[in-house]
Amino acid sequence: MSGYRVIGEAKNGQEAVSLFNSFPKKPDIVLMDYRMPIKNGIEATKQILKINDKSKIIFTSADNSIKQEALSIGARSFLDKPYSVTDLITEIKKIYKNLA
Amino acid sequence: MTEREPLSKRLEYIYKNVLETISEHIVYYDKDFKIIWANKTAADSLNLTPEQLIGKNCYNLWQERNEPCEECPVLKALKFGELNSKEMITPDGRLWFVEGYPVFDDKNKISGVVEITRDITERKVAEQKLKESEVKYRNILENMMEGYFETDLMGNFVYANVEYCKIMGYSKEELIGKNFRLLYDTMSSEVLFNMFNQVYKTGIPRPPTGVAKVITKKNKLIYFEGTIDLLYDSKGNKVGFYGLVRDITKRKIAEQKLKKSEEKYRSLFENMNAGFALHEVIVDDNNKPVDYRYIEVNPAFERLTGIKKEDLIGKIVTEAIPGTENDSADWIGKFGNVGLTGIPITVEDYSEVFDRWYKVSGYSPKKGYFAVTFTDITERKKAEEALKESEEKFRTIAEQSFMSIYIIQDGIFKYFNERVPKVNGYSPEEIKNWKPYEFVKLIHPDDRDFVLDQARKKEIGEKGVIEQYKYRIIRKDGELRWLESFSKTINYKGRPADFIMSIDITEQMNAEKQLKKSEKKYREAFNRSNFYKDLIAHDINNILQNILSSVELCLLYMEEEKDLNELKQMLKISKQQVGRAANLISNTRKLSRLEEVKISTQPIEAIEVLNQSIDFLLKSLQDKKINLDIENPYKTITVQANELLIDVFENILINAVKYTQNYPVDVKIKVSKLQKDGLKFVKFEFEDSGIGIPDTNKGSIFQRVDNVDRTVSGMGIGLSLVRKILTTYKGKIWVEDKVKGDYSKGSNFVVLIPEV
Repeated sequence: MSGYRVIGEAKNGQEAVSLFNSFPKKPDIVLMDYRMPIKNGIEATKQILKINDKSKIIFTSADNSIKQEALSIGARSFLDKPYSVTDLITEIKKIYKNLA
Repeated sequence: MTEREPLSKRLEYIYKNVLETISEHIVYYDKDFKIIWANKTAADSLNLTPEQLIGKNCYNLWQERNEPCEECPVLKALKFGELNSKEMITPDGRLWFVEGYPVFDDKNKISGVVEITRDITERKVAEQKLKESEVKYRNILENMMEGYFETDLMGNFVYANVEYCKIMGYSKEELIGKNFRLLYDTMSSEVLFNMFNQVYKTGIPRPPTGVAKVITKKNKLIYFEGTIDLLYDSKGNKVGFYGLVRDITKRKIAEQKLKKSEEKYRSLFENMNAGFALHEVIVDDNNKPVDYRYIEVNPAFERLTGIKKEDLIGKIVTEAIPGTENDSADWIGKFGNVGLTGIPITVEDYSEVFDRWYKVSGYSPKKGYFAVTFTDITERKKAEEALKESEEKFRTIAEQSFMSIYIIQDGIFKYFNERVPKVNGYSPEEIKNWKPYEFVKLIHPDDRDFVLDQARKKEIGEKGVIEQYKYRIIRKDGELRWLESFSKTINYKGRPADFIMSIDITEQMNAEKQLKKSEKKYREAFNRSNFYKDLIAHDINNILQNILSSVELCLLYMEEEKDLNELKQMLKISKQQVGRAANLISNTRKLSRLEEVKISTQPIEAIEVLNQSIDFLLKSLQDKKINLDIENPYKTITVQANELLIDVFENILINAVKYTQNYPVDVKIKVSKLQKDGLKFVKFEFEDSGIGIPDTNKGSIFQRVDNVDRTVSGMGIGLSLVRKILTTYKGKIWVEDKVKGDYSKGSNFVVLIPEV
């Protein structure tokens, strides 16, 4: 879709960290939700950035109050839910452009 | 008379010239002891004539005996031819010195005996008296309290009485024959020698005024006074000295002490802080004191009054200190009467003249006079006044205080203010009459141990005493009141006591209770408000996100003319999300209703409801493979619940499926009964093979409404609703690990509902 490929999905923060860890080649972008069972998005982001501090994480939540914290710990951008696919692709492009 | 004249001639001659005139009795006996001659003196003693005595026996005549006296010297002389003598008493009590002279004939044979008898009665009496007198005076000398000594002219002791020996510390044997210099050192010896010499030369006795120091044998310094006079013999020759000595050491020491004492008291008088004054009372015609004159004052008097001694002595008080006569303390009247009556007084009075307070003690050393000692007590009086004011102030504060103030010692109320009886409902008399520790009945039984424990700790000085605490009391009328007390150990009349201040905080406690309730209510309302805000902001947005994403993808697929199945899949997601939103709204409504109104319960057939829930689960999640294992030995079970029971079971079952990642989904339902805290419950267990719940989240998953921790979420409000519903049933819910210690193996939700 739009030239991007989803290489993995996780149902909670803990699974996200395990999945990220399992990729030999790390994904270019991680789309991270906040409220999840077992481990929330903030904790998962911290651990993923610990594994690879170059990781590009787009943080997303319906709870706007977490935006500042998410950006301060290293998320590249924050998307308020509900967001459109266009918004998402725009954010991905911005980050990808920087990558290039 | 010639030598060789006949006896008769010679006797005659004696008779005529001598024998008849002498005072002795002369009687001549023949060898048969018969009187052959007697002089007139002898006959006169018997009121007879000499002729009437001839041929008689002496013992018949003078001794009124029929036989000779024992040991008769006359008879002995006659018998033994030797002069013999003896003192003899005649029946008339007179004493005679009787001598017997034998008379020899020419052949030198005893021819008779001459008796010469002298009346020695008077002499003997005089001798006896002299002897007795000597003994008496010797005894006096020996026993008198003054030392007496006699020396010869060389100063050698010839006599010393007991007291003298005692004074000088020598025995008689040590003194007699020794020179007086033995007793004194060289200097004293010279002084005494000069005294003796002066007496010797002048013949004038030394009067008893001299005082000398002497070192006694025991090396003790003594003072003595005495006299020295000359001793004369019967011819008036100076033969020695005698003297009297008195030990005045004690008197001397006493005099010295007295002198020192006088000096001390004079010094005290001069230097004492108290003022002193001696006065003479001046009275009017009615013998009423109207003035007094200053006789003596000490320096302190001058200092305390500021008036010089020379301006007082000899002057009357009305002149020296004008205004005294008008002083309301009536110094003249009061102390004038002391001088007149001799009755001492002590007063504390204010002097208007000096504007000072004095404590004055007055006594009368002599009628018409009075002496006073006084001190300025102005500062003390001021302090006392201040103290009195302060005491009154604090007493007023204590009595008027809204706090109960009391002092307990030995378990007895030693003091309590007016508030105490008002608070506990007992009368002051009842409180006063309480036996030791009877007050304990006031303390609520549940608080008694605590309150008494604090008292005990304080008493033994144990650490950790709580000085301020709240407790309940039971009034006399049975009403329960809350008190807050502050207690402290104080010294009351020399012993430790508990000083306690209490305030009735019943109203405050009730208000606090109400406030807590209100606060809780407010907090709950606040949490609910937050919860609903969060619900809208987060959960609904999440659902909208899913719908939006699905719709956007549908549109994209349509543009790209993709397979209808993918399109259908997206629309199905949208439909599910709408259902999810509807379910969320439904649960929210139910939850809101539970919180706003009190939901009534009734007997409900639980197995039927459980079966309905299982049917719903299987129908609504047809696309998921679910293995249900039901362990229920009961056909019917009635529980105390209501129509919301189905929501309990459905939410738990849907969660069990929803949070299981591996298919098929295994769900085990187990129904049993148990008793807990005396109540009967039906126990429903829902065991799943889902992702499990870590220990840290086991409590919070039921408390989304009350607990604001929303960092871990994803479970909606289902379990919060479940807990709320069960709370209204007086039931319980909790979650356990399916495999103990490993939450990842799945969970077991346990529900207890009261059985009817």
